[in-house]
Amino acid sequence: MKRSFTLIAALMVSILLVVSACGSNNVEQPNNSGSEGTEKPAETTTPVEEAKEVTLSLRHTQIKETSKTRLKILEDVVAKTEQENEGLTFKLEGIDEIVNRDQKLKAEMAAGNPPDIFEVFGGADLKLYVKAERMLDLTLILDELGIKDKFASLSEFTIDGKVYGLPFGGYSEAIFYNKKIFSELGLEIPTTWEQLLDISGKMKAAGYTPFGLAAKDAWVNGMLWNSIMERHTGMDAMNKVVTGEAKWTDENFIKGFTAYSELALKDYFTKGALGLAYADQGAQLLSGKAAMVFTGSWDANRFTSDEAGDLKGQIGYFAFPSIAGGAGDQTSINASYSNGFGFSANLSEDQIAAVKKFIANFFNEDIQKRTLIEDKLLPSMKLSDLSGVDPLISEVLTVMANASSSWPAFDSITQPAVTAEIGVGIQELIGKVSTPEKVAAKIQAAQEAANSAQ
Amino acid sequence: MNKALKNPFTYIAFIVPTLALYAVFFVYPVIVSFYYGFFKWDGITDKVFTGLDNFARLWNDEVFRKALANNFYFMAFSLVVNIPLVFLLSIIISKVGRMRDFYKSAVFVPVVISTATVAILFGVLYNYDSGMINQFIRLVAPDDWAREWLSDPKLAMLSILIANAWQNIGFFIVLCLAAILNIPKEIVEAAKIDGVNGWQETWTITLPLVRPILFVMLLLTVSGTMKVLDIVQIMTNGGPFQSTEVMSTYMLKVGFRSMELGYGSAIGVAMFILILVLTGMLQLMTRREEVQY
Repeated sequence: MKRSFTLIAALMVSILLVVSACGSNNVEQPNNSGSEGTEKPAETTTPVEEAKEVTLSLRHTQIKETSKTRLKILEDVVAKTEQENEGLTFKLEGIDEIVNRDQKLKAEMAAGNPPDIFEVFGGADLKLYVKAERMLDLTLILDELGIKDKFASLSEFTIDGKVYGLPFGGYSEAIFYNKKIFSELGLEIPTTWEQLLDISGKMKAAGYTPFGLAAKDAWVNGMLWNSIMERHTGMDAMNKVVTGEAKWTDENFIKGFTAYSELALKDYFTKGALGLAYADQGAQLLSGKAAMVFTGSWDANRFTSDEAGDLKGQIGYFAFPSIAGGAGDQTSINASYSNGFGFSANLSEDQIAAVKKFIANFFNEDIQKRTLIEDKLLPSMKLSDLSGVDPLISEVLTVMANASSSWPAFDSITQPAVTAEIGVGIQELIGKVSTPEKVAAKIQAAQEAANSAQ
Repeated sequence: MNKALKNPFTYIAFIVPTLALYAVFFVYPVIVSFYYGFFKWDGITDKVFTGLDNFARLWNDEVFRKALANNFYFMAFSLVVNIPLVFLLSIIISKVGRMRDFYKSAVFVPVVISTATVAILFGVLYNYDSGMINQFIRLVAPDDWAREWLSDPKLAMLSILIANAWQNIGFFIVLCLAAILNIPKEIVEAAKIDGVNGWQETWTITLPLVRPILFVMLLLTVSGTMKVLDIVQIMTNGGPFQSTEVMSTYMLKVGFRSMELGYGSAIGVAMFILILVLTGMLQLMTRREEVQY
């Protein structure tokens, strides 16, 4: 009997271990802050300040080969902050950016247990999380650190006058091009839609792909489409479809869809693009097969890396050309500071104090300059010194400075369900299986469903 | 020690951990999916009860229908192409005397590779420009025979099915081969004396005697193909324009891309019921099967 009891007891212990190990993942953080909370009264009686054990989990998405430098900068800031604050530990976790944005972070937000610090996109994503009260209000922290006015723009992270996130960089979207091909074929940088079509035709005739494209992931196609759409409809039109004042089937939208479809019908995109993943797009430009690629300035880092080989220094950047008769601002650019860090509303006092130190160490001119030079990421803060910047980055900055206005990407405005439908619609145009009118009608149907749900 | 084995608590102690995990990660999610299916919910803000709206929408949802059709296409392909191929290869391997173990391991290798790797590998093979398949076609045939394997909506599903078959038949072959090799030699020898040829042997002896294994394969194929996710997700992500969408990729998209968790749960519930019914039917059929050598 005794032995059987021991056996059962041992089993029970092992079960407990399993169960507690399973549970600890979720409850670890509240437990930590809870125990710190109970320690507090004891501390007030002892005047000697002891280093408190504070842990902050930090979720980033810099896991690709191409974002090594950005990760290094983040790790340096984390190491520095840990060094300066005894007892503070950061737990870094890197996951894929799409998984984070579309699945993991959303699921965690739903469950109410996001990481303490995480990468988050401003705009529609943030709005949802703020509505659910998951985001830490940073307004006071920014005032205290006195850095609020140093940012180029906090508009994507500001809701009702309060700031809920900090962009660590900005981007603009336009056309990267292969200077060698342009000079070989004697082409000029196009400033009008007609010129763009003209040079694309010449590139195709010479055996190059005019627009390198990898269309498997919908957001990639959304970029060029978005710029064409803006030229035709104006930047405010996206807001209007969400409020119901405008329809996707309106004349100007149809013109936009038609113009995009024209590029597909003329085979100016990479053949078989619908089966290719995003990374392939940049590879097409760098391998010299594609003459142009419409993408965001975040790719500049890759285009100036060793992967560029012969083309190092031969990649340029120009703004999307104007479209005569379009209703939009013809020299505007899609540029925004929407990629940033957000902080969980669940943080304890001590954690918030630690977050403050992290913000001070990460969002300053030194780190921003380092990011610009090493990572080619456009700074989200105003820099006084721009020496030592890569020529391609200078081109990017020039294009942005020359733009008459800027606007955020459509998917930060349209509802997620509409964004998904737009993604399918654009793929249908690329695959030449639908017409602009049909695509517009389907998107409008999704838009109306989404609008009525609000 | 013997007393411990007689004590019912011992057994309970052994079962409880598994049951607990099963309840937490299977039973509970299934039940709440049924519950969430009745709500309109973005996963973050408050749920709104909408009754059977989600299921009514599902009934009329063209994309879901397409996804369901793709699942059945997946299943039909696996049943019509994979299983006969498995049987054929198993017979061939069972007939070779030399290096049988080598062939057995060789066909099993793809099973060991993770699906994600297989999907990416085939993505590279199928590439229009630089993929090995098109390179080969261009070498032996006119250039325009090269196909956009993964981006042509007519071919994308087939391309996935081929990759899937390549990965999965190994496992089935090993199953089938074991059954074939299990058939007592006397039966085959007795038949040989009676003068049967190879074809008759296969048709009248081997096939009937491995029938239980064929049913197992059938069951695995049906449940496996109805819930298939990973290979589709990675190879095409349901694209181009949802032509390769299967139920589970659509569920994922609706639930976590479009943030319609209520509707996503409804899709999950539909899948659950469908798989339950199909496998239930098969199980009823297989219950009668018993082999007597």
